[in-house]
Amino acid sequence: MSEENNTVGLPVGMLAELTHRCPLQCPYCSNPQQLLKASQELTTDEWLKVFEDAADLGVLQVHLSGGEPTLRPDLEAMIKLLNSKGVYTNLITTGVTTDDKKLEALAEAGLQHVQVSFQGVDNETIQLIGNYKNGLEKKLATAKKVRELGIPLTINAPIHRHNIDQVEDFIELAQKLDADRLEIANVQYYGWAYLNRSALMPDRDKVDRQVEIVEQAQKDLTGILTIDFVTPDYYADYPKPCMGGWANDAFVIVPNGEMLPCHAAQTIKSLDFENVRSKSVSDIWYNSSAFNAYRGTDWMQEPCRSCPRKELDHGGCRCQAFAIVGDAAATDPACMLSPHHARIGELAVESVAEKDADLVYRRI
Amino acid sequence: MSRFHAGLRQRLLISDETKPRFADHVHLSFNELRQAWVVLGPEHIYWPDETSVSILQKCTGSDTVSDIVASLAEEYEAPASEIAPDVQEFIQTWADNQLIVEAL
Repeated sequence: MSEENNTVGLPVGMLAELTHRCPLQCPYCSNPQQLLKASQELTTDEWLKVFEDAADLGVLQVHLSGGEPTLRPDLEAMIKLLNSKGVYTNLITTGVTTDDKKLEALAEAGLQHVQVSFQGVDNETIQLIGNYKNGLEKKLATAKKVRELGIPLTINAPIHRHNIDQVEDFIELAQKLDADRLEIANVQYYGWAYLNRSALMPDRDKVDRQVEIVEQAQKDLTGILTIDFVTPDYYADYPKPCMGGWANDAFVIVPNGEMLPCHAAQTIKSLDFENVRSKSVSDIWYNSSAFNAYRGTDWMQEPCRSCPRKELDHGGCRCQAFAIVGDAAATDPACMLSPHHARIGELAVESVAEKDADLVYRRI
Repeated sequence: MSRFHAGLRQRLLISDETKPRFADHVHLSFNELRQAWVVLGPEHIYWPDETSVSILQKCTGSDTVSDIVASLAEEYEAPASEIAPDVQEFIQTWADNQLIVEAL
């Protein structure tokens, strides 16, 4: 047994990236550019052990994601185990791989919530972004079946240049599907999305129009449809409170068992990550150097260190600081107080100017 | 002026007669590890304080808001008329977050 670090709280959330395999090839995928193959994935027994340990450590909510998590034939067994430990399970799916029978089995296993992604509201946009034909009908069928089974539904809409004009349509679609929640999530430019920023970045006017639409809909649809709005970083004044603070109350496990403080953490080249195949979830949570690197506020530099907002936004995103400033301990350049804030504005302008940039699809 | 219309769903407006209950797949439980009450729901985790817990525990679907206010008044030795607006507002907020629905 390792000694526990008493200043560290218990984790409540866990993102389980069960596989990197996916029928879609979205150019803003949150998986790393070096994707893992099926043969590198944790086995069923290894995942079940991880979930058991995570629940014992304090995890209350597990997001089953990927890639496409339903490509794992052992998904029911995972949900069953988590449910028996009182852990809330959330399935994050493309909605193109499951038939009614599969969804019924997942519901039977105790699945609590489903999030279905829509790359657009029509087949043309879904194909342009996902490089996948005729996805719409399958996604609609999945969403309908989820509601028929009485499971709460979230529609996830990642927003960028090619679908920012569809925000009102996404709202209408979510309502038609009897969804409980809609995520209008502006693409975060890390990993694949950073590579594709010139082909994805929307221009300022469209972003401003989008904000107006979403704020109006949030007001009009109170108690009817909950709209979570992930605002675009590149046009922000303050950074997002990324992960609610680094290694504060959540962690990620990727398909081969590496445990990370956030899904993009591997982009920070100075960090070393540990694997649940050789160490326990609890040991990594408390003692991993990567987890302890940016916990709390002691690691902060100015202007964060003396900033009254430091407990609010935790200095923003470490991965974005590393990608743009080259130092993961720097203030997130999305913050207007960062000495590098002008650079993020320039990046947005440069990206928008490249009107004809090709999408680079996410591929193994 | 509203631009977006309700569609299939209606906003639940809480009155004295409403019988509130938790929405499907929203659970209130006591977490032994943390010695604290917790509500688990879609994409969110809530840590209600003591007063909130005593209201939420009464949202079983069998009692009306008036019944809930009456039993809270007794528990906290406070006039029902004084606490009623706060209780109603609390339940309305939870309904607006789609955590509480009406028992039919």
